[in-house]
Amino acid sequence: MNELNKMYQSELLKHHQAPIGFNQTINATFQAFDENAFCGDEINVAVKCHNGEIEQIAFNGDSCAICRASASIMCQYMQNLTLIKANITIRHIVKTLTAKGDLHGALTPLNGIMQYPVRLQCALLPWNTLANIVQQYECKIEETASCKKIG
Amino acid sequence: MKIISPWKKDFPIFSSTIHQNLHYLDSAATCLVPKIVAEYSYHYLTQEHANSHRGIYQLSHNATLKVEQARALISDFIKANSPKELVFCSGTTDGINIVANGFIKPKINANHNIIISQAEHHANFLPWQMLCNKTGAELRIIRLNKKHSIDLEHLTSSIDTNTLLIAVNHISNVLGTINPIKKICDIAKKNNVPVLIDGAQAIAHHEIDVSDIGCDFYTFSGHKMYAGSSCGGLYIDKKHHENFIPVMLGGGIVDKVTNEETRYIKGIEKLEAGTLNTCGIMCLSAATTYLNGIDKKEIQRYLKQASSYLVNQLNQLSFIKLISPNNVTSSLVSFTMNGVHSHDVASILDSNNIAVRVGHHCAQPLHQYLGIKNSVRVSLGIYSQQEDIDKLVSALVACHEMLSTGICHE
Repeated sequence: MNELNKMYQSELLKHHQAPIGFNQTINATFQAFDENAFCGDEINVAVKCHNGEIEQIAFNGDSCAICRASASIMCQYMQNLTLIKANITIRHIVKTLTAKGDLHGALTPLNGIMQYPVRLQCALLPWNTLANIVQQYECKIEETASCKKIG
Repeated sequence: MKIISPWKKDFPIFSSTIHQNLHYLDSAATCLVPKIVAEYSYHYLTQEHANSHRGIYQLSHNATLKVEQARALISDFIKANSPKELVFCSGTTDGINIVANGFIKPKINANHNIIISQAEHHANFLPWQMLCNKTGAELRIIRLNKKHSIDLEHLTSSIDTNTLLIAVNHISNVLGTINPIKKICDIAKKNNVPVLIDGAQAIAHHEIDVSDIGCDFYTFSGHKMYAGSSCGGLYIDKKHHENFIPVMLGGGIVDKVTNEETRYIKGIEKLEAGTLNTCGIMCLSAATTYLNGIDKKEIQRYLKQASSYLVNQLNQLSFIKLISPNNVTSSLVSFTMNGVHSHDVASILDSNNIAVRVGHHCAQPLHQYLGIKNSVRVSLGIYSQQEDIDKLVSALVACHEMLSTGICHE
């Protein structure tokens, strides 16, 4: 049971059982959907942003405990970050989890799944879906910039 | 009286120090390997390995003899009329693809239809879906009846003069239901339609008599019959042999090759291009010998007792919903756990040294049909016993207590 305790640390379990941002309705500026073909996890991430800052972030979908807890941590952590800062954070988290490094602060519970590489994709799914939203935002900024140039 | 396997001692992994206290309940994915197969593999590779059917020296000739002895042994295991009706292939997926590309593809057109069931593994789904989508032919999918086996009335009404093939599983890899394949073949014969049986889940524990079944093709995997990473087989009724074109092109399947054209050999040896997986064939042969040493009826009696115990125990857990029928007589059972994703169930079980399969089991259309996205599958082998099931049940209870959120996963 030691391994089990490591994996489902109490904080991770808390996020799974009372996920932050889960099924929350927001007036989304951007939305993205992704799925994990391996296990069938599905997630929709929605972001309401103002002046490039995440005002509200929510998610829904049918997913496993790891994915849902990870999404909950994401919703807690990303609130009020700019999308540019969010992008840097996502890259840091993906890189650290993939390299089995240590995350700190509110991200600490995610360290519990690092020794289970087969579940890594479950933990990364919400972050990769948010990365898609950041891309949408960047495309929109570029489009606006080119419109201004043409104008 | 406790259910204790008389064959568990034959499997060295259970005395391994690497995976101590292993409760292996994933035999439908692959069976563990008895010592006799592993030892024969070592013996072959270190003492007798050569390229068969090629060299004219003694070592190669002996390898050829051993391959053909294996072909005779395994074709007899499935009661084929002749060893010449058995092709060695990599496994069930390969066998189905050989029929799709060597037998059906050369003649299919937009007027045709192919019949499969709703409960097929992707291996017996994708080749037909692709052929139909490419040619405009129709893929007819037969629904399941209340007992979750193939609905024979729907099957009968779906056959017409343009039906090119019926391809169905012997035992569903998700539901564990045993399909009435003999009746299906009878219906098909009346309509002059050939039948392919995916025997992956039946080959190890059930008597297979292709002549009695009356099928045209029967394919199976060695690794699902205790042969390790070996090879598989494809039975082809001799009346179809000259209707096949070679699928894989290469050495060993030609009479004559010139710059302009090639004359292929007759018979189904033309479906075995390239160097044969002789070690795999030896493992398959050794596993067949091992299973021949056990009365199949004894295996079935044992697994029926263990399966009944498993189903009864699962039925006592209020948070478990079986998707297999209650009276399942094969050795695999699938279920969902209320409020818990199947991958979380697998991780908890894994931390208790219990190995099960979770996900869609390469049968997404079936899961869609059942209205679920994934499930947990428990499958027994001849080494499984009551203590494995008891351990499973207590771990499921702990898992539900820990993870249940009330959020539905269906």
